[in-house]
Amino acid sequence: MLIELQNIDKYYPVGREKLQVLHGVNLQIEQGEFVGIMGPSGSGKSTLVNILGFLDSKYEGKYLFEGHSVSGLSDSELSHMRNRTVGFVFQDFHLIDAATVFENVQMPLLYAGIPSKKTAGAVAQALERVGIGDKSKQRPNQLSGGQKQRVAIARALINQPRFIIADEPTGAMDTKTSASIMEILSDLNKNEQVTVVMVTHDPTLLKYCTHQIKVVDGVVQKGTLKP
Amino acid sequence: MLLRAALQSLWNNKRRTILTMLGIVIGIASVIAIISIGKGFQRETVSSLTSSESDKMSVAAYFIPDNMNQSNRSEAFSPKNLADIKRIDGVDSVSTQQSTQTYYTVNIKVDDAVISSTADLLDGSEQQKILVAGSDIDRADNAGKKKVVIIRQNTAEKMYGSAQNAIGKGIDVNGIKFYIKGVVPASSMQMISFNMNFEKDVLIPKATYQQYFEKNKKQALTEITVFVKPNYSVKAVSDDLVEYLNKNGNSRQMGTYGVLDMSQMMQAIGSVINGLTYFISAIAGISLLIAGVGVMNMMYISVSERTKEIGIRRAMGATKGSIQSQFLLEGVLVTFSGGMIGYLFGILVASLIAKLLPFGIYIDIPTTIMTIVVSILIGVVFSVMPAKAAAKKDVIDILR
Ligand SMILES: Nc1ncnc2c1ncn2[C@@H]1O[C@H](COP(=O)(O)OP(=O)(O)O)[C@@H](O)[C@H]1O
Ligand SMILES: [Mg+2]
Repeated sequence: MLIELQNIDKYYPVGREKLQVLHGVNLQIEQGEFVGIMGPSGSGKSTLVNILGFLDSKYEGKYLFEGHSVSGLSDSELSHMRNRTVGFVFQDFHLIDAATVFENVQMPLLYAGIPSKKTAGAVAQALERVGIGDKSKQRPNQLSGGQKQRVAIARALINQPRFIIADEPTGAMDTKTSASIMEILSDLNKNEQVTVVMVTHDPTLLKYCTHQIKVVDGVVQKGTLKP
Repeated sequence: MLLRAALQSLWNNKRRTILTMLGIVIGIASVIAIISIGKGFQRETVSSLTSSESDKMSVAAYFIPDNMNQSNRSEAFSPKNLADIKRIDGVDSVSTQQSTQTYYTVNIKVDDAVISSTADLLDGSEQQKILVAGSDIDRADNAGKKKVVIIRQNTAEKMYGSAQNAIGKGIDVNGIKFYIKGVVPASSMQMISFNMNFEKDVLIPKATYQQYFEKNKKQALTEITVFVKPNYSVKAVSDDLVEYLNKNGNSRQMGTYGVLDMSQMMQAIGSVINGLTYFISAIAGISLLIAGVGVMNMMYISVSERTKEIGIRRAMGATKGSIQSQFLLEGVLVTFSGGMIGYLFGILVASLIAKLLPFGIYIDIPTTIMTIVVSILIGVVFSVMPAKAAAKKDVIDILR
């Protein structure tokens, strides 16, 4: 079992009140699954994947990653986990505009402690993998939305993570671009057994998924999809 | 990697970086300029104190008579005094060398005018002089205390028509009749390079002068130079010296003894300069403080502008520590490079100023090290808070 959530409650402080966003979430994700998370806006999808990706540690309940609890880990241990085990793809890319494409993709390697000199090969390979091998010297703001998201995927792949979290990766894209991004993720999942957890609004994208999670008002249900 | 991220961010905000740096540059430059001039002066002081007479510090002791008319009646420093002074703790040696600028003057009567003239006292052992007429003063003249004199050609011609005519004739010196033994060429009013004294108007045997004009008076010793052993305080030795002389000095009844401690004077000037150095340094320090606040301001702006970058880096695995280091490094880079530019600029300014001063500037290694340390320290002190603020930011809040 790659990921197991047990009775996760999540509250956000809103003024003096606490807003409960997740209600007793139980969830299991196996190695190699492509999980699509659907649900209305504000239902808690992003909150859920932030917890899965070790970005958020302020929750109640138990999170087992490969059988080990990550609930008690320190901030720098969680940083390490993020660096080594998960890759992020966000709706608005979250690339550093001041840095080149190469530097953006290289960054997780550097935080993994790999010397800058030894990173060129891996970065080139990752960019090649997502089809933008020729863009390494450009800045993100010189690229189209689809190209930016490819950079983000390359960055997510660079440390060979155990899973990828994609929070509405195609949310701001036209159908064609969206399809090309989905092909890349699907290909990674099928051919390289990369586990993908993807939040989406678009039901047509469910055809790429092996499993579906429905989040409604912070309550989670998981179901299997027939291919 | 941190270095590259920091450099990149500074480069992306060149104008802000340069403006912030400017404060540090000016602050460090003024401190360096002041210190290098101050140190230059200090070195000048020390070297002028120790230049002559090996490396010993010296103090001049002198006697001031209460009544000027009584002057030179007795010796202010007797041989016993000198022997005692040599035994004072810290005294290395005593020099009784009189200043070479001692003049003897006599009044000579040329026709009816009395002319005050400088006189040289000879004992006959001196180098032969070029004479226009007559002969030089010899040992016999001195031994016999003969009333003979050598005068200048122009004086001789005025009185007796020619130099030849003047030989053997009389001349009134201080009211006593002397015989003209020789005539030397007219005064050229040049410096004689040999002892740097002006040429004298008349030459008289030394013994004769002492016999008729000084009577029993020996050549008075009014000033001595006392050399102080190394590692002894010149001040303490001078105090002992004055105390001894005013208790036991040969002429203590007729006046007071004092010391002219050159080092003390130089120290006084030095301490004024030192005080000035510290004062201006304090002002420069305040300007550095303000520059530091500028750095802090810049760093806070940088942190808030780059919140998104911080969130991305954190998501990619940056720890709080590495975020903090990145911003700290950025601040230190600004102040360090500003400090180095300021250091060079300060030396440049100081050497320009030194062109107007009688001494050169001086920069020592401790000052250089201090500059480096101070500029790094300003960077650290004023970037720590912004860097901590950057590291503390909540990843979820940033990436939402
Ligand atoms: N940092 C936060 N502070 C307070 N409330 C938040 C925060 N993040 C999300 N929320 C609230 O929690 C709820 C769930 O948000 P989110 O997980 O982003 O939903 P989704 O991704 O499904 O649209 C929303 O009502 C949102 O306003
Ligand atoms: Mg969302």
